[in-house]
Amino acid sequence: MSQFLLVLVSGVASGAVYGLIGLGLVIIYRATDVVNFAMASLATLGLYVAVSLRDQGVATVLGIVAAVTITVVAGLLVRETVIRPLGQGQLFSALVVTMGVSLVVENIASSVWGDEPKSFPNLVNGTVSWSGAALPVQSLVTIAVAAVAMAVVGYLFARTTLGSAMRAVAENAETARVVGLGAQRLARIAWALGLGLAALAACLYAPRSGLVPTALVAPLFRAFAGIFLGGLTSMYGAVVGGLTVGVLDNLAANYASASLRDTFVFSFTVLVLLIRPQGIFGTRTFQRV
Amino acid sequence: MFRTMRKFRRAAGTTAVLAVVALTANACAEQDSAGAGGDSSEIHIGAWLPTTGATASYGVPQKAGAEAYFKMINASGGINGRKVRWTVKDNAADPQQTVQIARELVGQDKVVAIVNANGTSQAEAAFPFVLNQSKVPILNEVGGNESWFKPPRPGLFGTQTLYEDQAAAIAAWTVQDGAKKVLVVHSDPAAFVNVAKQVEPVAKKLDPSVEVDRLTVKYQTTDYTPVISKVKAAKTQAVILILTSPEAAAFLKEAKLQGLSLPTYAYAPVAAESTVSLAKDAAEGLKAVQLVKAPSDSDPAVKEFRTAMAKYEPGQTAGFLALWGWSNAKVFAEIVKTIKGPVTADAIDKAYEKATKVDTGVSPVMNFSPSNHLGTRSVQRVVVKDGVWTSQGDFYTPPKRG
Amino acid sequence: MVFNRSLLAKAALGPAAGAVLMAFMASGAIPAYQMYSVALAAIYTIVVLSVGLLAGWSGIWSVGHPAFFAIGAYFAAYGSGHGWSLETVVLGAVVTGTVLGAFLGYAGARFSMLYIALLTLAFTMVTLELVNRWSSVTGGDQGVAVLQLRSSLGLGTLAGGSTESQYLAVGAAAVVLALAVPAAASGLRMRLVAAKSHPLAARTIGIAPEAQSALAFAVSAAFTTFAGVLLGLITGFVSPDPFSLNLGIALIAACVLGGVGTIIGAVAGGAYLTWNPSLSSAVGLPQPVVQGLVLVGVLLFLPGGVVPFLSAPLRSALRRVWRRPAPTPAKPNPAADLAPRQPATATAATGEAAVVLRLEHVSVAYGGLKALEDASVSLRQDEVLAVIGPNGAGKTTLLNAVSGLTGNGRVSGTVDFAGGSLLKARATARRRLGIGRTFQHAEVFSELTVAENVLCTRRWITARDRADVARLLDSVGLADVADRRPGELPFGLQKRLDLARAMAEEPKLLVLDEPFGGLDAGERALLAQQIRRLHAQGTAVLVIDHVLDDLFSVAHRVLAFDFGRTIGEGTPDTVLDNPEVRSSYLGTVGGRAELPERVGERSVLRLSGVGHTYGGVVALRDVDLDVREGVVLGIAGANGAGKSTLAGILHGSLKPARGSRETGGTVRTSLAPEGRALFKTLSLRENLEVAAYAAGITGAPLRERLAETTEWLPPRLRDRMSVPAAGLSGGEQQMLAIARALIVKPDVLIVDEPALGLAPALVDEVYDRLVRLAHDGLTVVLLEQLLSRAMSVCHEVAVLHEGSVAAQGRPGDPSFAALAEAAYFSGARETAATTARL
Repeated sequence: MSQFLLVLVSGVASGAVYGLIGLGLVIIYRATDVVNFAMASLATLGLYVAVSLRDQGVATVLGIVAAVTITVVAGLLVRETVIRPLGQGQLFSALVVTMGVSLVVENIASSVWGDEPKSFPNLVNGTVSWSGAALPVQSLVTIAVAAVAMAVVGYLFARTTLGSAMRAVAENAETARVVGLGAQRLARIAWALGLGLAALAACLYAPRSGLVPTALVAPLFRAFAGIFLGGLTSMYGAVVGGLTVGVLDNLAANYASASLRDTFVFSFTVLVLLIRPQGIFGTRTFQRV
Repeated sequence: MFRTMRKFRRAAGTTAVLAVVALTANACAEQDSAGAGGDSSEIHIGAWLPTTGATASYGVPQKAGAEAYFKMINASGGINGRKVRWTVKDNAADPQQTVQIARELVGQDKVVAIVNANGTSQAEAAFPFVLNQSKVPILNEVGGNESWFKPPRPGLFGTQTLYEDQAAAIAAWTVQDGAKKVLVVHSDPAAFVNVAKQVEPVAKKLDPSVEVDRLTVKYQTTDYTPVISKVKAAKTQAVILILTSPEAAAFLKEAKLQGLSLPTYAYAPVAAESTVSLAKDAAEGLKAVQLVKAPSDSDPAVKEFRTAMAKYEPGQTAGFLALWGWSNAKVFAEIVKTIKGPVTADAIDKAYEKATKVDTGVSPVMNFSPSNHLGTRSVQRVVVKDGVWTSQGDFYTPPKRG
Repeated sequence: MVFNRSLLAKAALGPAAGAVLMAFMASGAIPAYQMYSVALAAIYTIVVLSVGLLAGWSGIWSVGHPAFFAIGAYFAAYGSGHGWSLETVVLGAVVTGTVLGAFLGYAGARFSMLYIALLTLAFTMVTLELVNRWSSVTGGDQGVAVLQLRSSLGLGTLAGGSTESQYLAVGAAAVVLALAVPAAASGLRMRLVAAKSHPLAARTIGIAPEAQSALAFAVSAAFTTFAGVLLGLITGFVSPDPFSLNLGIALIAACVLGGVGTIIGAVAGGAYLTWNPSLSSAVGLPQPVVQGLVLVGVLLFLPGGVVPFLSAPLRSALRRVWRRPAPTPAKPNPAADLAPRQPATATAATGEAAVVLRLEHVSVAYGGLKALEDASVSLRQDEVLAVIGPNGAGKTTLLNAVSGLTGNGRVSGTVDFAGGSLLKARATARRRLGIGRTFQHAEVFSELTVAENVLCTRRWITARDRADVARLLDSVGLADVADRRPGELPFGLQKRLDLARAMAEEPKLLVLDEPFGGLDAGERALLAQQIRRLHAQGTAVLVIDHVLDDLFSVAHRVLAFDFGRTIGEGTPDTVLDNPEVRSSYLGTVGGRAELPERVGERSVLRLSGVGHTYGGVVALRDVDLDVREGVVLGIAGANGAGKSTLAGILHGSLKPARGSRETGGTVRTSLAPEGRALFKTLSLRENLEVAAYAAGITGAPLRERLAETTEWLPPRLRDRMSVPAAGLSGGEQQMLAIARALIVKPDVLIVDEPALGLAPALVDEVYDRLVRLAHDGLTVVLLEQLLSRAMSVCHEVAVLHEGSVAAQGRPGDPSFAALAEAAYFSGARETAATTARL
């Protein structure tokens, strides 16, 4: 039982990270039709800056703020220089360009900071005992921080005018234009928000994995599986999908076969999609003539 | 304005593409025209190393260590008056690229040997051409497995104690420390599984009452919470880690967090600086076997290494992986020193088969023979003390396996 | 498929290049150390070709090909270790690849591009995990050697890593290239591209996108597994390392670099993949950086790829040398064997021919919305039946029910065609039964040439097919542009092409969706001739349109629809006498609304000489309009007259192509667009907030405005401010759309077809409110489909016909009413004649 609880909490903690990254991906995708493959490598850049600051003796929390800031700034720079010139609605080109950016950014990180793994500090240490299991506080903090971040995003989108405007652009860009919403400004805000969430997720993930230039590739793929599972355009879907993938991943690794966990996660995702091609929360579009 | 912008962009694009095409052509041409080969005043050798890609964290320091050694001996006149030219090409850990590189090194650069390259499957992809077709020796490769040396293959010589023997050494160590119930925690790829399987027979051979279990963890797992919980449940007396360095660090951190404190042993890839830098104080007391002495040792041969690294490769850490490169380079130099006359592939091959008591001072003394192409089976025991890997005792030869 | 001489020459280029290359290899002109790289490049070429043609022809971007590549390589390794013959290995690998590929392609057809990427990504990850795990067969991460494969046909033995294997690789690539050339000219490619560029239109000509993508993926996967076998052979060793996701990305990079879907581009891509390491060391950058820069650079600067970029100027230069200057579109050339042109009445239905199509009580519902309700229609083989009705009447749904394009709508009732039930037949099967259809917006396959657009209706193209199609194109006047892409043609010619595609294979029934819409008078006359000719040849025609003159000139019988129901039927001469039919167009509005008496003299908005086109279709021409302060200006026009374009230009959100828009000082305009265009997932309050936010109103002023505007809304909406707008009825949505326009306190309110789809009572409520706004001093521009409605609520009315203002005046003016009505149906020119007939 305690083993199961541990596995579950671990899975939820990983899932929370995937969910946050997925949420960032979805926010950017809805606003600008860009599946941002470079998100992981940009967040890695932020992490390296945080680690460098930590080495200079700066507090971890400030380091995280710096990581988020750097990621956001770098992401906006990428958008303005190589994504915007592609024009609107270039789904494939934009995806491939972000793949290219990701390769370049990873290498910048490796040439500046090297390929040797670096450690990233835990926010908190220690464990709490609960029904016989020693749950790492870091996992609980990860879940809590992710939950708060998701709640803030939820509040932003559901309760504020800015959030309404962003949902409006996501629902119908053409009408948004007629109404006079500044699409570019909202797109920038969406990118900043999405990248900020990814950087935060990275800061929660890195203490576990250590930091190498490709550290975030694995969670990015998990987040992808999560958002496809949840439905590409649904923010709830991103969170639920991420959590599902995280928990399923851990359950499969511990109770089925450690070596076949990718097979479990991806087969499950594909099976769900074969039954519901638009994802659990996605909306189906029908082409009319 | 807009249109001119677009025109400009297109022109810029065209230029870029033409540049790329020209470069490609140029690169090809270069390869065609060069290849006159070295003169007798230098020894031209080569290597493929992953300086980019997934295993770059091995390739880069390994290259730096050997580079430092060759620069040092070249500065002091080279080997018997001949300078060493070591051409390294990036294979990004890809076997196809390795074959391409091997063909360039052998066919175009006319190297006399491949020295201190990296990768098991990568090298095997290059064997047919390099070893069989071109008869160019592959020396001191980092990686490899038992089948490389049993039976010995012409031109293939190793300096690295097999991972299987490392496992045997660890097994002996745990038994010697008195553990009766041992758990081997290992990654799931075959390279880890095969090594992990070697622990039990050796342990049982030394003490039939020892119980050995294995726990498989998915390669590149970062979340070790459930693993530690399982280890706890196994009520074992010692743990052996056949994992990568970051995985081992994740294990140690999580173990410390969950209050699990067991004697923990590991094989050479874990005995790296990154394990300590990632696991911090959780690594304290970790025992491991190594191919070389600890880089922190006060031994003069190790000191020489540190000095050379600081002088010739100032940007690089003088760590274990660099020391592997250094040691491999030094073994090569020591053996080539014995060659009278021109240094050809054949001469090197013969010199290796005759080489005995090759002592680099940083690695075990190597002995080769026509029937034994693997120079050593010994390891150095190292322990993390105050956050630094420290040598414990002298080189140790594990009992025979099987 | 047919080999003509140039195709043969092109197809021979591959083997020729291969032979030259092999000669170079044998003679030692290629240094020995480059031989492996040349062979590797040949293998990569096959893979890049597989990935690139799959993407270019079917629009499927696969990252699953590394897995197929791996499967082939491991087949070679396993086969060599277990004494399989070369042929067994190749066959086994190719069959495995084909089956798995067909599955992925079939499953993938349900998904959008991104989901296919995930599906194939999952395939690669699962395959790699299995390869790593199944070490008894694959050797796991340790790899496994490919020693040798013996041919069971006695062709000798190939050793892994041998020179012979390298020759085999080059030869195989040459053969694959040689196969790709005729494939590019085949019906296969045309049908794939057709299914990709317009799946729905493809269904109407009998192409099932799922089958196409399964076929394409299967072929592509088969070639990639074959390449995998070759890779195992030339390397002599197989391990999982090369088949990573990085290879997937590198393959995409190679495709994009060379030019997606081009054959020479694949060669360039293969070479790039092979020599990227050399290129990287030559420029002194790490390999991934070079790859990243190539991806970004090519997509930014040469989105078509390097090969098309270099060959386009070459080709156009060649065209200039070889061909005459581009011909102007010719007049159709009715072939001699076709019946001479006769007036419609002369070939009128005799009433004796068999009924070919019979719809009984057919309803189509989308969710709660009934798009078509209990429609019963019958059509005889010798008839041209016209269906008319205002926008939203259910006409297109009727056509969709006949051609099987009702999507996820629920269809009930019976449809019999040529003696069989039609509803059970899939859309793709209906073409075979003899139904051809055209589309309102000429949904042609933009990536095929004109001739290919018609040829793709055939599965296997014979020389006779080509001749038939050439004759067909000639008969509709497209012969001179047969090699052009539809996008290069004016809209009129695209519609001709759409018709020609529907006519190919001589269907029994032609279904035409607004064939006259967007055409000029000359084009319309030609089209009418064409329809008469089709009828004379015995084709039954079902046609819907808003352009009544031309429609009535070809039809034998007219059916009028509104609100998804039939409201009248008759001959072209009599149908408009039916008051219900007439009012469905013109409206039946009783009294005049009480408008404010005074209209200001100051002009707030003025258009002069405004014209606009969309991709060659003229939407507006030379419109002058003056909106004065306090006026309620009505702009009436039938569907497609250009109202919404004009609304956008008046609003300022659409820049006119010609002419100017001037405002008297700072004038804030606000638009309630056609179809409401609310944000349906947003609540009522959020819809309003967002509009205010867009105008830069935030904080306390926003709350104040919100309160005011909420007051304006009817009480039943006021109570539901936090309900999503999707839950509102049509009338309520319209109120909200107007409120949303009002929240920014506009000087001019533009309302585009507020009555569309509303029940009469609701229409009255909406108009009441608009009139009250006018009383409050707001200037209102009202775009309206019903002339009578416009006449009843406006100070001034301008009648828009085919993009021009055909009449303008005051509803109070007695002479204006007749003038406006005539202009509404027939424009300014033919007023007299049409008035007489009406």
